[in-house]
Amino acid sequence: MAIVGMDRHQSFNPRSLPTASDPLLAEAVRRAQQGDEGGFHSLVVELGPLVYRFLVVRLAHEGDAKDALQETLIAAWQGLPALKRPESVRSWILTIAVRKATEVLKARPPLARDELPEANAPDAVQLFEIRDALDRLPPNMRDALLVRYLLGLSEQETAQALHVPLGTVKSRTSRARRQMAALLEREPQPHEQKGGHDAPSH
Amino acid sequence: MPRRIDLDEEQVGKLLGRLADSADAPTPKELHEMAAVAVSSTGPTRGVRRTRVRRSRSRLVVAMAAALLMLGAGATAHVLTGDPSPPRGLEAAVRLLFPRGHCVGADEATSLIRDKLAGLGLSDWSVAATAGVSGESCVAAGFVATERRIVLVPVSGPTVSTAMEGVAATLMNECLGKDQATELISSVLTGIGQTSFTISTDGPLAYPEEQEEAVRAHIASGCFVYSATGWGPDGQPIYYISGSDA
Repeated sequence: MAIVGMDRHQSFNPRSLPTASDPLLAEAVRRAQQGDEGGFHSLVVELGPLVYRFLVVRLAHEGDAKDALQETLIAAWQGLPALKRPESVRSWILTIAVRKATEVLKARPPLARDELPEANAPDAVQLFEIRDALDRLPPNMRDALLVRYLLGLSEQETAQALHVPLGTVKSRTSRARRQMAALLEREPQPHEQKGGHDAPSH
Repeated sequence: MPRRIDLDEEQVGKLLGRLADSADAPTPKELHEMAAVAVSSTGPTRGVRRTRVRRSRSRLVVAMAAALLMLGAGATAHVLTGDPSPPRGLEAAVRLLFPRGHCVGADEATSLIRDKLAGLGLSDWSVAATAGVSGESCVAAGFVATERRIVLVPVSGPTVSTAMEGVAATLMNECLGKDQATELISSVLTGIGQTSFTISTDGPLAYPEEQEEAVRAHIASGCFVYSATGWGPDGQPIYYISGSDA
């Protein structure tokens, strides 16, 4: 994929994500829970890119993703003192992000294709196909797919983030992969090559 | 011919990653700004859930300023919001005009907010300062959405905020009576060059929610705590202390 601007195309390796046992992250959470703003800033810098990555793919709109990230952070700051298991902070903050994304999707009209983040990418055609396949998945499968594979969370963390049993995560991600593969195998239909991009609904 | 695609877990991750990589990611600076907005947006609802206004002193400016100061952490300027909410974007935009730990004077704040309102096309909104706020006073902004007005209320400058955080901690760590607490506050404030202020027991009792139990126990033991800062109509700060015989 062509790189257009270093900031927007820095490679992202889920393995480089702060882990639940990361001592720096744990310390940031502990401080933030006590009302320490510096701790919260550290937490945001550590986890913000992860949350944004989920939101921008889920919402397919950079502005909405940043607004939803802001809303997520506000809710996180308010809710941190009540977080009982600080080691679950990644899945906990993603739970909030999933809820905020759902709220945005319910409230906004469908997006046109030229509004999608990938519209200006050199490989836009291929990206539109991926986007279409993703958007044709049921919302709960889509969330599972994004949290598990885009963000690289474990199945257990994905289950926590989505508030579903572990077995449900396994079945949803497995079915989602099969469905996505099947969708990408299809030849695009003529009516699918034009027109708007429907926001997923719940 | 249809293409054959096998998607293992890693490939799915890569496909989805291509979508994510096509978008601008927030920079660390943006993330810090978002964190600052999140912290300031919660205002008194998080750090000071329970603000009890005693007797008849329930002036808005006192309650707002008290809540602000009790948020601590060197905060000198914040944005307060109420219902109904101001237009989307305005609140966040105004917040960014008030960096935490800095004193934004009333004149400067008025000018910056007016520019922001004009930029957002909100010509029907106005900016007004509460009584006693002078051009150099450090201020915070409050939204009165029903009246399409942004109100500037006084807040402590960073030096005073830091000093009063120390006073608050001392009063919680030791057990001082009314006179001793008053003397402590006077000496600290005069030590940093403050000359015009009042110390009163006739004000709101505000405290961080997580300290509620400790504050109440401290007061019940006959000790005084620093409870809030307010401003009189003349703009003079009033430092409130609370204790069982107040």
